[in-house]
Amino acid sequence: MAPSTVSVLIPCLVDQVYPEMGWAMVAVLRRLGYGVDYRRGQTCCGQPAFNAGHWGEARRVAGHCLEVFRGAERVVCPSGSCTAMLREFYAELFAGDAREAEAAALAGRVEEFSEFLLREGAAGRLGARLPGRLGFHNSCHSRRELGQRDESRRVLEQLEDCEVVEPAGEPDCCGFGGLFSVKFAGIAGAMAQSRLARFHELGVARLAVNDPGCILHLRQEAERAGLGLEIRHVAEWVAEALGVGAAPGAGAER
Amino acid sequence: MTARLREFRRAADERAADLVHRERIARVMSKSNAASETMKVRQFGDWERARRLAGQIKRHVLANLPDLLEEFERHATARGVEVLWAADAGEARALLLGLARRFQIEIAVKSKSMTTEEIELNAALEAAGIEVLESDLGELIVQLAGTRPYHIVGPAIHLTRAEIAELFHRKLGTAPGAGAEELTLAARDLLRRKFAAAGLGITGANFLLADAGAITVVENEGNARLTMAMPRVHVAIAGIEKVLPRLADLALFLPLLASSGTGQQLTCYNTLARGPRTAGEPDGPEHMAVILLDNGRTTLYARPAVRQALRCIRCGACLNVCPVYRSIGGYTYGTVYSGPIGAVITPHLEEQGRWEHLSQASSLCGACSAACPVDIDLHRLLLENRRRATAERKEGWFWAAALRAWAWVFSRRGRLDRLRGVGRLVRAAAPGRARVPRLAPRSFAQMWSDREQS
Amino acid sequence: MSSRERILGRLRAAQPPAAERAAPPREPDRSIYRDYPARAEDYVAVFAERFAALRGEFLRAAGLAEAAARVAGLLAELEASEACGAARGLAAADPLIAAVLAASPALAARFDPPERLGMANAEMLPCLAGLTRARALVARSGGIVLDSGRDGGRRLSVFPPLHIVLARAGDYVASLEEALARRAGDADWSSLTIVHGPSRTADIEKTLVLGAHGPKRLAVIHVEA
Repeated sequence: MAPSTVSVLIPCLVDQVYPEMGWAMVAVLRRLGYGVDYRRGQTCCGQPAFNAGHWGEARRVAGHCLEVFRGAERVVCPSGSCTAMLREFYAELFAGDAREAEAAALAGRVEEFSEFLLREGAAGRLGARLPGRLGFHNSCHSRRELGQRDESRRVLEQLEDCEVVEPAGEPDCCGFGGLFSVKFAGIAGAMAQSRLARFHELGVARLAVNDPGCILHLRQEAERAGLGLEIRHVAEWVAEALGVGAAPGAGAER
Repeated sequence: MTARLREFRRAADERAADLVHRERIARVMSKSNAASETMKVRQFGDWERARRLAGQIKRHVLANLPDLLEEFERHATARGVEVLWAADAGEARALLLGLARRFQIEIAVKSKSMTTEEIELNAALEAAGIEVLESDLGELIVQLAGTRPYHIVGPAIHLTRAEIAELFHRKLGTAPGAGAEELTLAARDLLRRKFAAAGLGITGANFLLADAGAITVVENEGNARLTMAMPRVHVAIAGIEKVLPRLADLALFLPLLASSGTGQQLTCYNTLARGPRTAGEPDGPEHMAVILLDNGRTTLYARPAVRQALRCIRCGACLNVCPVYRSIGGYTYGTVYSGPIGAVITPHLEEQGRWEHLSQASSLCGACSAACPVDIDLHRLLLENRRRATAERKEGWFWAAALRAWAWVFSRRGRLDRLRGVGRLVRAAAPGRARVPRLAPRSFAQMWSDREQS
Repeated sequence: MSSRERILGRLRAAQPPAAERAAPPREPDRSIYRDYPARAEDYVAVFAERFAALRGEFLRAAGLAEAAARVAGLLAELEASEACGAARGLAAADPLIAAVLAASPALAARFDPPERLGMANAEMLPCLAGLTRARALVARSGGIVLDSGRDGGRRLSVFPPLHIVLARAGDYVASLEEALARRAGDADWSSLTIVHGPSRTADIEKTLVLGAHGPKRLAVIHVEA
């Protein structure tokens, strides 16, 4: 079956702070033959307010998200936490609301980026190299809410000569947790320190992460600690291997 | 911001920055967690199934709690146990002091019980002129040090051997720099004489068996067995939620507790006590009482959204896997029960205390829920606590206002596009600015418009 | 209103309606546990292995005389480690124990008889060895089930630093479930314990130390005949 068009859900953090991650995902999808539908009205899935316990505000923003993605048949998102928000938490947020059914419908149509590539069998069609050791940090939402133990890892392992390494045992939280990292910066910083120390033990200089929130938080700690660690999104590493799409103007398309 | 939240944040930041403490706790916890993981795989063909079953049994218990408590009381009373009910900590203390006076107790020995911490029993007994000695080694250590237990299962895991040796040297006269074995032996010798002399033995109970009218006490050292064997009076204090329907359920719960709590297949001593000594027995207490403790549990019970937290068997696994607990340690919480379970239940057990901030101090990573042997959705309960606190306006005005503004901006793309400049200003003015990211020159949406004409 | 009534009242007011109260779950089936010994003839060997992993000492004796010799050997080791004179012990009332002691009068003289089980606490301090049977030996976990009715009371198996259990083939069961089922129904005990090895603690820096408060040594003498 020939690939077709997918809609992309761009996390607010990517939209506002790290657009290059969104472009990397778009470039990879296009290289694999997918048409990409970006609905410009989208803003945010509502998770920051939801996790903070402000469900009224969360519902307001999530309701807008439902409107934007009305009719979208397949939605791909480069964030385990946004995907989990739609798939696992919209049901609770809209329970008893008129939009309950619509939320359930959307939940069934969203996939996280790596999950999508694997299910479509597209990961095996990448045909690209990314030689060297690459650390991998699995986000808590991917691991525990979506039950994705190693989807992103398996995508990266499709890249030739790429040696993906992870610390042993269950992945520890990086400490982002949305507003948690702002409200309790001391604790969150310590958690990031501990997590990066595990990668330091493995001696990796490059780190792939499947959630923009984790990347934001880990980069801050890596910079503070002066670690020469290159932390980028899984989609960015795949895009680099394929030699495609940095953000326009931010680097020549190879 | 309440004074309590300010103090919590101060203590948390201090602990989180204390690399020595973090490294020490990390070492202890990774050892614990590794042992637990190994044992779960070793003894359970399917641990997930085992814990789901345990969760279902506990859900059944909670749904039928009043009937099961009456069943327990009936069977226990038939075998000569005095079953008492305490609405709160004050009443529990009074009941225990009443028993101590009735039986003219001068010396009491205790085995490890978080419930007795909860009701602050030791101070009350001492005030009444009764000598009280903790017999669990970890509890004895913190008692001698004059501090509280650091962790539900390992009260003294935050102390090094050297620190304990110094403490024992000062208080018990052991050799300076003594090793773990020598220190344990010193505790053993001290306590053997006390077990022999004490008139009252006080324990908690890990489980209350409804069909047998028996309590169950689980331990490794043997001090609880001695507490229930040697003094002439035995009193057990247990939360009302500790019920299991049948003695046979222990076959599931004892291995689950041991695996998750200490990484053992089964704990060394698993003791059932269902009455004072029978006519044919050569020893054992002449009198046994069980105090069933409410102390806020019925409040929690009456809230269906969080009721499942009463399934807790106090194994400590959620503490061991929690990255927040590992960063800040047990004392920072300032509560009897720390870690994820403590953050979940304390705001309901102690309404006046305003402990909602503990539910905020989490990244909701979910490691706790994944580790719970009775399938409590701990991180979802933390979220529910947050939702409830917001709905009841228990949080400060700042975040409510900030998120209202945020929702207004983010519910319309046009507003978001127009207000990016404001976002830059907000960031510049924000306290903790380093934590708020710098905006990209153009948003993804703007770049898409720039680039993708069609 | 008493506290009892208040507590039960609050629970009943918040209880889910009868129709929604969860049905009791089924019995856990054996597949939950991975490590059951498959056949009855394996119970002893599996128990011995698991018991040893818990630092228990498993000894075999062909008959009563050898069993007596084993007990004497353990007492001698006790005397060496405690640096004391002739170690004294206390025995529970049981035909097998009586038969083993009868096989060696010298040994019998070292043990106070079951009539002494009710001695005062202070009198028990010099007692260094407790000798009992067991209600069941659990192969799966290396556990030993004891109760205060038939196994010499509550103190005997926990206070002396050495606890010796005499066992026969018929004492072994596969699992904890069976062990609990065996004894639970009986009337004559007030306390029952499932023991897994000698006493231990890891409260000091997670370092394992044996002999915290309970016995430092736990031995099972399996009597074949």
